[in-house]
Amino acid sequence: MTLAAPTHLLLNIPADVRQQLWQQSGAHSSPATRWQAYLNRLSLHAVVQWLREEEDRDARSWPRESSIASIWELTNGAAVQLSDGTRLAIVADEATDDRELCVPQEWVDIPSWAAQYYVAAQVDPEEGWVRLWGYATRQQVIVQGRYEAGDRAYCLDAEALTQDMGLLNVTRELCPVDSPQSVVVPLPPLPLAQIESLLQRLGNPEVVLPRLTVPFQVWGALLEHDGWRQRLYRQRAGLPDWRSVASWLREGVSDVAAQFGWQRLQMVEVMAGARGAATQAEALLSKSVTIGDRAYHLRVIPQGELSEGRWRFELTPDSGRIPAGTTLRLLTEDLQPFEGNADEAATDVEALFVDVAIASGEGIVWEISPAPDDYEREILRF
Amino acid sequence: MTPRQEAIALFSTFVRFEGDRFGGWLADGRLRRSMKARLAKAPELNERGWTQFWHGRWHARIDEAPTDRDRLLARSHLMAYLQESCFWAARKTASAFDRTSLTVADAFQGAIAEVERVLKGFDPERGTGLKSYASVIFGNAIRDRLRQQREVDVCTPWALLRKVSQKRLTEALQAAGWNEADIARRSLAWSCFKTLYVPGADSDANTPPKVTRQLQRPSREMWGAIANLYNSRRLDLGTGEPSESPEEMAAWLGKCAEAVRAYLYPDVASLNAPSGNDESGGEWLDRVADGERDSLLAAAIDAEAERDRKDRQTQMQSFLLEAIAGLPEEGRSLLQFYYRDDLRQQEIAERLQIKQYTVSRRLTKVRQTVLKALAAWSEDVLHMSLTPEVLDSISTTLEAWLETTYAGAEDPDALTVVERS
Repeated sequence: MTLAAPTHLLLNIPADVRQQLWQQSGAHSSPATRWQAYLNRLSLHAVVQWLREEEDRDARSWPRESSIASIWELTNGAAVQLSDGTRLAIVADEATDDRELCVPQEWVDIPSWAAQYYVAAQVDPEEGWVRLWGYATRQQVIVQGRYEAGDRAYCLDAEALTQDMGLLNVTRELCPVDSPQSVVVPLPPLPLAQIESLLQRLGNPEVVLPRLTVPFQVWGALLEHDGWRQRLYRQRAGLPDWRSVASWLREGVSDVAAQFGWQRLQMVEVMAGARGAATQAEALLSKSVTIGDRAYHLRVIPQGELSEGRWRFELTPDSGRIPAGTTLRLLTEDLQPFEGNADEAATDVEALFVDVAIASGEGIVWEISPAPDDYEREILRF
Repeated sequence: MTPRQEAIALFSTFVRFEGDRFGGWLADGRLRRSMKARLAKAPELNERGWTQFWHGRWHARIDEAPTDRDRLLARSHLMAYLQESCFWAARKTASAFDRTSLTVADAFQGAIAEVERVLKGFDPERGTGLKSYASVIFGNAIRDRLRQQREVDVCTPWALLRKVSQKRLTEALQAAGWNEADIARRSLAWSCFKTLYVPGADSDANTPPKVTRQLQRPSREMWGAIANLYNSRRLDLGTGEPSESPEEMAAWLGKCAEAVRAYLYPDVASLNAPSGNDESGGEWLDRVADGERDSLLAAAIDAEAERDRKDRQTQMQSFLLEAIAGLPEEGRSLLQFYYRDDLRQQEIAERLQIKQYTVSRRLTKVRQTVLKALAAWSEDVLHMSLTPEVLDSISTTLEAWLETTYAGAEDPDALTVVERS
């Protein structure tokens, strides 16, 4: 075993769990990124387990399981989201010397990724343990850390960390830190024209460190858009992509889209004749979303022949009505609004819907506000 | 260990080892002379005052503008002062560990080299005295070193390179005498190595690699990939940086591993040799400039606040004892095992027939309970407003208290240090 200070926290990962986590780390472009994914899975698993058992039953990984591998193909680090909204970023490393914590810039400067606390974790995959040896607030990382341009990381000397893991929860309780998401400067949007060439270039797994290849603002914006990050990851790892929505209707939902909760339903099962909208297509696509404690169905329904490219996006509650103020909004792939792209509930309503004409090959991103739990941007390709 | 009593001895003598035992105090002539000259100007100054004075000198406040030589002098005085703290930390940690792998003298020499970290991290405004604070830092430094030495003993050079931080690597390369530009190149090469060369490359998708410490020398192809990555990143080091061959990468990283190994097993004699009894030369040692006299005076005034500080310490002492008495039996005995009986976590685990993880988790939980109580008390009684930084200092205070006072030592920041039985 190892020598841990009483203020450090040693967490165990049993052999069978290690094997399981290794098996989940298979889909990567190289042994190096597979290893990175494995180390992160080990630390994330250990921390989530510990928090669930000791502090917060609802502690969970962020982002959720289905999209997490895309991060580890591209950078190091993981995050845990607590039920009060606090996020802990966990930086896994094999170093034994406790000299510094180097946080990849993505976890500090991408607004939706930023965390309240950054935790240093030494992982020993061979003996099966994780040692948490210190943490810092985002403020400390930025103010006291030195920015290493070559590695794009904020590095904090051990002296600047709080090396007492028992204090983390006391601090959270007695002087909570505000959510950093509002204070992080947004990254400038990327024009769609740039995306294709970026994805083509960085999607090549021979580019070992894509994160150091383009300026951070570009890289950060690319990663923050979940849909683009997914594409980049799948391309590098040689995985099949999402395919088009039309093909989901014809041939069945792609595996990856199914992981994200999409399923194909027969029109009759849903409409039960109530709506009477005369369409010739028989199938539609549906996905469950949860907002707070309410369940909804988001549906994508072809209007007329598929070749006509007319679609309806529809949000219906599982039961009851949709509260006033809820908005269903569609955006282009690069997150631009267009005319007639949104439907807002002025009063409590039974359904929200947006009708759009979409060219073949075009991508659409849906949004709902207030945002659903675990919301991630998806690019639906038509 | 015979305690030192006089201010002069406290700030100018060093532990001498006889084998692995305390062998007496060794005076440093120059430091002695320096103390004598200053004591003549401030005969009333107590221990705390002296600590504050020298720490202030070392800290180099701009208005006083001490020279590098002055700072070095201050550092030497403080290093002398911290001998006991370091000795006890070494004895506790080394004896708790496997005796064959680390002698008390080795642990001591390794830890006292971290005095810079102590001086940097110490904040006189926070409740803990320098000695208590130092004992925590020294204890951690010894544990760090032991942990790494253990890796050095069982890892191949290539596995070892995955187990150092960039900062430690840099320190090791500096100690090995490389210049800044060469260190930057080797750091970058190491970063490329670490990115690409991982354990488990040949493991199948079902079974994770069983051993990571036996990582073998990279293949020719791998060195080629590392060199490619290095060459694609080399311009970060500066324009005109030459490209390097795979052979060069292999040679550099081999040297890096050697440097890390050597850094963790330094030649102990070279670390901290007091300069002996030579009292000749260095006239500047006797000169006490006006600015310095002012800070002596300031230190004396501040040291008068000693009584308040003592009162607060006594209050905190009784509060903590009460808080610990209120813990469930399990938590109390865990604290006793760890801090009072100097048992390692693994030994506690064996005794209680649980896993080390469980000990670590329970210890964290118990400390958390006490910390929370102490934080609330500090807010109510001492009117401290709680920030993450203040909580951090409360944690250090608690740890120092547990490691020293609770563990049964006399007040570690008082003049005398009594050998524990």
